[in-house]
Amino acid sequence: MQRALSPQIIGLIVVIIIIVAAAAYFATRPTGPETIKIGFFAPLTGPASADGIAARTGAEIAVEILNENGGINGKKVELVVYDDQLNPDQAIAVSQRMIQQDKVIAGVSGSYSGTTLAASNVWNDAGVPLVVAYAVHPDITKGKPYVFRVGMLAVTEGRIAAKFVMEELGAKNVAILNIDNPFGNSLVDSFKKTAGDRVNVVFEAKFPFPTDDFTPFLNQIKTLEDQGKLDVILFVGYYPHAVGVKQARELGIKAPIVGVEGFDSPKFIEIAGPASEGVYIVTDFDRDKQTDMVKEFIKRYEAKRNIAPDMVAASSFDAVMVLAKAIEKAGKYDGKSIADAIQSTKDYDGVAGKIFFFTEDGNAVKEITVQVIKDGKFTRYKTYDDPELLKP
Amino acid sequence: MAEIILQVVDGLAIGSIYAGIALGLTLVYGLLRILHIAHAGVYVVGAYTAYMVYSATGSPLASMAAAMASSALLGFLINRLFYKPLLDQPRYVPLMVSIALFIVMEELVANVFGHYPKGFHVEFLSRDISLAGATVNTRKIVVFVIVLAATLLTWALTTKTRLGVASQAAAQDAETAMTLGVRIPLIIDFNFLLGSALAGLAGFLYGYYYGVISPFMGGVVAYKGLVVIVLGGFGSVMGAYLGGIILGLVEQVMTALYPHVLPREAYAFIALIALLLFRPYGIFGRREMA
Repeated sequence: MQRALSPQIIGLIVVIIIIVAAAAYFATRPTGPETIKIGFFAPLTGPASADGIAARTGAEIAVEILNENGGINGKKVELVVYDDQLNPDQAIAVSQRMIQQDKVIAGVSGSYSGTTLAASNVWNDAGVPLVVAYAVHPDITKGKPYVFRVGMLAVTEGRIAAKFVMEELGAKNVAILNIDNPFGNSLVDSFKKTAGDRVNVVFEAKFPFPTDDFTPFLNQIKTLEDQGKLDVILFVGYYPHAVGVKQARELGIKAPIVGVEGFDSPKFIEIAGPASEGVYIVTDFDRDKQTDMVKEFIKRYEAKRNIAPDMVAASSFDAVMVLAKAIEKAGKYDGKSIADAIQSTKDYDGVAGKIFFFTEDGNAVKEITVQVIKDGKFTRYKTYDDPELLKP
Repeated sequence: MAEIILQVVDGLAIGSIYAGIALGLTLVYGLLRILHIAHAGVYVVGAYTAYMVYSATGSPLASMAAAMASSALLGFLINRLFYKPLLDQPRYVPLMVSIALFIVMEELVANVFGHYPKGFHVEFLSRDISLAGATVNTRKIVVFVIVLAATLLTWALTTKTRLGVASQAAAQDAETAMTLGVRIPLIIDFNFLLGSALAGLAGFLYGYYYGVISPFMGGVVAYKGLVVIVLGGFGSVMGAYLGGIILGLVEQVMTALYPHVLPREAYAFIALIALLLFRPYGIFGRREMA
C-alpha cells in the first residue's frame, strides 16, 4: 500500500512554494512603489477628536489636489489614516503598523505633542521621515534627522507675542493666563525672556486643559484693572477656553486680550460670541493671504466640512505638501533621500505661512501673523517675516 | 470686598451645577448601590437636547423642560435595559456597563452633533446688577435659585410623599421594605426618572451659565459627581446639595488663592481623600452601625 505524504512533508512543500513565489514576486517587482503611501495619525475619537478630524481633512485635501494634478512623479498618492486616540502607546503602535505592515514611505503627524513625541522615535529609528503638522514640543525633532516640523515652535510664538504686546499695543502691565502644558509654559517663558523688564507681569495663573471657569482669576484681574494696574491680558489656551474671554468681558474687563494659535479656530469666535471682537491671536494661518493655494484650500475645506478651516487643518495640509514636494524632488523613495529633500526645502509658500527653510533640528522657519477678530472674522493685523526674528 | 463677593457668587453658581448632577446620582446610589457613571452621559444628552430645542424655539423654558424630559427618559431606559438585568450580579458588573455606556454616549453625541464644542448663548435673565459694590450677572443668581428650588422639591418628594418614604425605606433595607408591600421596581423607576431629569436640568444650566456645551463635558463631572455624593454622604438629598455647593466654593476660593499650586480639578480629589480618611460616611452622613 502506498503511504500518504505525512502532514510534515505537506507543510514543508507549502512553505517552499510560498518562499519561491515570494522571491519571484520581489525579483520581478518594478522598482519603487505602485502608489505612494503616506501614513497619517491624529486623535480621531475622544476629547481631541475635533482637532484630529480637522487635521485629517486638511491632509486629505492636500492628497486630493496632488492626485488631481497627476500625483507625485506620475504615481498616485494614498493617505493611510490611523486614530491615535491621543494616547502615546497607541501612537507608537499605529506608527509601527504603518511602517512595517502598510509600508508607508513617510508619515505625517496631525496630532498633539505627547503622542507625536512618543511616535517620533519609532519613525526616526526606522529611518522613515515624519513631518509634524502643529505639535509644538521641541524634543519631537531634536536630534532626529528623520523628523521635521512645519508648525511654529512655542518659543517663537512667545517671542512674537512679546514684541506685539510691547511694540504694537504699547503695554506695560500684563496679566498672564496660561495652559499648564509644555506648549503654554515654554511660550510664556519665551514671552518673559523677550520682554525682560520692559513689562510687569501683574498677575499670573496656570490652568489645566479641561477648564471652563476662569472667574477665580478674572475676578482678581478685574480688581487690578479697576486700580489702573492692567494694560493687556496674554491668554495662552485653546479654543474651548474662549469661554474665559466671554467671562472676562462679562465681568467688564476692557483690556485687550492677546491669544495664540490655540485660539485659531472658528469655534473660538462661536464660543466667545460678541466678546471675541477685538481679540488678537498670534498664529501662522493668514486667511487674508490672496494666494491661489490659500483660496483653494479654504474653498475645499468649507465644502467638505461646512465650517471654516483652522490652523490645525492648514498645518496638516502644509505637512503633506512639503512632504510631496520633497518626494518629487528626491525622485527616490528611500527615507534618506526624502529626508535630505525635506531638509533642503526653500521658500515653500504654504497655506499656514511661508516656510523660508528648515533649521538643522528640522524646524520650519516661517512667517507668523497676528490676526484680530473683526465683525466675527479673523483678519490680518500684522505679518512678521524677518527670518532672523522667526528662528526658533 | 467686591472681589470676595464675585468669587462667592461664582462658587455658588458652579457649586449649584455640581449639586444638580449629584442629586440624581445620589438617588440612584441610595437605592441600587450602583455607581452610575453613565449619569454624566445623561447630563450631556440633556445639554444637547436643550441646545436643539433652544435653537428651534428660542424659548429658554421649553429648552429646560425638554432637557429634563429627554434625560428622564434616557435614565429610565438605561435602568430598564442595562441595570435591571444585572441586579443579581456583583456591583462591579453594572459599574463596568455604566462606564462603557458613558463612553458610547459621548462618542454618539460627538458623531451626531460634531466633535467641536458648540456655542450655546441663552438669552434669559442675563443682565448686570450691583451687589454690595460688585457687578454681578443675574444669570449666576438664576442658576443658584433654580437648583435650590429643585433640591427643595426633590427633598419634599423623597420625604413627604408616600412614594418618597417608600423609596427611603427601600434604600435602607430593600428586603424588609418588600415584605411590607413596597413595590421596589416602581420605586427604582421613580428615582431614575427624577434623578435623570435633574441631570438634564444641570445640563441646561451648564449651557446657560457658560454659553458653551461639548460632547465631552461629562468627563469632569463624572468623577466630581462622585466626590460630591461622598462629601454629602451617599443617598442623602440635602447632603448632595450641600456637598455640591461646598465643592464649588472650595474650588473657587482655592484656585483664586493658589493658582500655581494645583489645578482646580485637584481640589475635588483632595477633599475626597481627606474625607475618606476622617469621615468616610460623609460630612452629612451618619456612621452606619456594622
